[in-house]
Amino acid sequence: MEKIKSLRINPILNKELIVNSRSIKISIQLALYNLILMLIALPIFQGIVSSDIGRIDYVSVMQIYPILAAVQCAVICLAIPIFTASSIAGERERQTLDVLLTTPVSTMSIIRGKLLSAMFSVLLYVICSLPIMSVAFIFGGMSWLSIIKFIILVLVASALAGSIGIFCSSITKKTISSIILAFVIIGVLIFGSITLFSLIIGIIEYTTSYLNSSKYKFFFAPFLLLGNPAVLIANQVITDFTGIGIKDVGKEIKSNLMPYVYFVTQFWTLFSIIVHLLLTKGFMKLAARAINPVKGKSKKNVLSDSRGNANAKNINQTNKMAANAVNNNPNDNNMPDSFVNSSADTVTDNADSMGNDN
Amino acid sequence: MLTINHLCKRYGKFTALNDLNLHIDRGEVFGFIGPNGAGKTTTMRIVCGLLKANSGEVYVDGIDALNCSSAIKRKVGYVPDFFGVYDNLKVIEYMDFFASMYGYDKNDIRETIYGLLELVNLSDKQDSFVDGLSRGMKQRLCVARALIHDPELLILDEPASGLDPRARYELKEILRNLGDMGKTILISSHILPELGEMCTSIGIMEKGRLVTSGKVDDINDKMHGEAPIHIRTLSDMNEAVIILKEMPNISDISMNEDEIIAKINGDDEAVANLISNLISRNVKLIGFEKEQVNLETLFLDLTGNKEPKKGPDDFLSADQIMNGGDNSGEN
Repeated sequence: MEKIKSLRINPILNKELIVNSRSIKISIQLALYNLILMLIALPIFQGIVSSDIGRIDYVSVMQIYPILAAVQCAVICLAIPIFTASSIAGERERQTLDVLLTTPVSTMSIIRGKLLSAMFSVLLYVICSLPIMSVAFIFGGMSWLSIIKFIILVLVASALAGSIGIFCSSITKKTISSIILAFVIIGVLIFGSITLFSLIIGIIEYTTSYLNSSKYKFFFAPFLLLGNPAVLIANQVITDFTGIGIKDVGKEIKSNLMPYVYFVTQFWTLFSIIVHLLLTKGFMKLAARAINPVKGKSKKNVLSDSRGNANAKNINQTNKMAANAVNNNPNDNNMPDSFVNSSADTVTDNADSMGNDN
Repeated sequence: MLTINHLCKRYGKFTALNDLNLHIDRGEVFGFIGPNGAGKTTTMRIVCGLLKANSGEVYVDGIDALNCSSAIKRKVGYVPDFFGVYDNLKVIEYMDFFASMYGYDKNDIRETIYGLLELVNLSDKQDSFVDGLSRGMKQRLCVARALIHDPELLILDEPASGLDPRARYELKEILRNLGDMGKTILISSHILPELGEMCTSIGIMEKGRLVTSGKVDDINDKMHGEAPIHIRTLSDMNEAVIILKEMPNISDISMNEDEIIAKINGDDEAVANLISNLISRNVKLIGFEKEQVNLETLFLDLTGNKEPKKGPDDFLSADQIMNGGDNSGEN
């Protein structure tokens, strides 16, 4: 039974797919996206073809790849917070979130459905851009494996960006503040980590020059970049383009690295993907927590359950009796004096004003 | 079915619920009445697991709702006061969506969905888009949605607000059907007369407390005894007032342009005596009726809420008309 359940498509995702497929928005977005890619790719193509009449320099077609990859990443980083900003905040604005929360579906499932639906949009973007991208790949003589790797990395990066967007959406009341907050967090993640990285290296370089030891030069600093989606994708693109990536840099400066830092650089993409997924999970958990109206119940829940089951009948019985006692003589206990001694004036006044209302 | 004990909820300094106690039996249609801000919605949201209480206990069908909110969700259907719709979703898809949220397979529950749409008179609208429905239809769809998992307790927050009379009537019929089906229903409303027709029991809330609760009939009976009588005469009303004043069990006499209003202490026998007395004294009686007590009157009385009153010119106490003196001794 559990297995069948997990195989079934997430209901939120299912609904979002139906709704998105009917929306004109997605078509316009895709058209705009391809237009941007075209406007960037076309001049480059033209430059390559017309620069040397009669001869096409295929290698220079490869230039297109890093440019398009960068554009794609930028668009996705900008688009995802906008996609996801309305995911929870929009449900809140429409007041449908309450209804979702009264169903047995867990808050985590709701978040997961929202994230998956955002990822589907990204996948749609990526697939739609494939014709233009593949020109660069194929003329540049790159393998299918590179394309697949690129798509996977884009999806991983978009999962992180999406989870940040959903987290922001879940803690803000308005769509617009969610978008801004998501941009700030993603900005900190990309630029902040690079700044911090350079800062730490600068400080270590300055201090260790006295110690005359270079082994600590990078210390833990490279780990900061593991969660940076820009570094993840840039590394892949640069490796494809120039044949040199973090792996090779790591080998070169092996003597300057602590052994485990060196180890991480050799499997950079793998470790980076793991860190991305962990961050994604973390943001999803935070988002699920943020929309859970009765948070912080887990342990207490278990305790009172075991206790509650044994005494459930007893408690219920006493409750009923207590409640009945209250209800049986409402007039004596609960009704204010005005009820009993209400004067004819107030009664008629009220009756009359009611009559007028009707 | 639903038991609430000593429920408290505070928003910052504001106390929304202050030691609320409530019990609703299985199969009852319970009406929650109270002015805005009395805590009706707060109570409902806590029962549905949408809000955390500060203290107190809530049991739905014997299950602790505050600590096992997941178990409660299969027992409770909730219709919020605001009907949120999804753009670009058809009625049948909307139902399918919520069916899948409850873990039902789309094909297994189709019959149930058709049945529910039938119940709320939306069978012919199943391929319409939800956002294109009228407000009344949306409200009914929302009721159908809340019933999809066959809950034992149905909670409706202000279901009749913003509906036109026809839509209100239809909703009322649906709720009556559900009541006949044995569902326990908790309704909040400020449209009091309607609650009186729909509910078997009512509870009146004010400032986070239940001021009173009980069977509608009991409260009606109680109120009916207290209800004033309205007397209309063809002849001079002042004569009738004099006669009324002579009678020992009549009190609180007042009059306006075309009728005398008085209270009678006693049962139907006393009422019959009063009528024969008036007629024998040649009062030309053209109207005599006991005021129908409605929930609105009761509600205003209990909550001490002074709704816009008529100006003092419209009502003159009979005593003032007669001699302006102190007549309290006579009554």
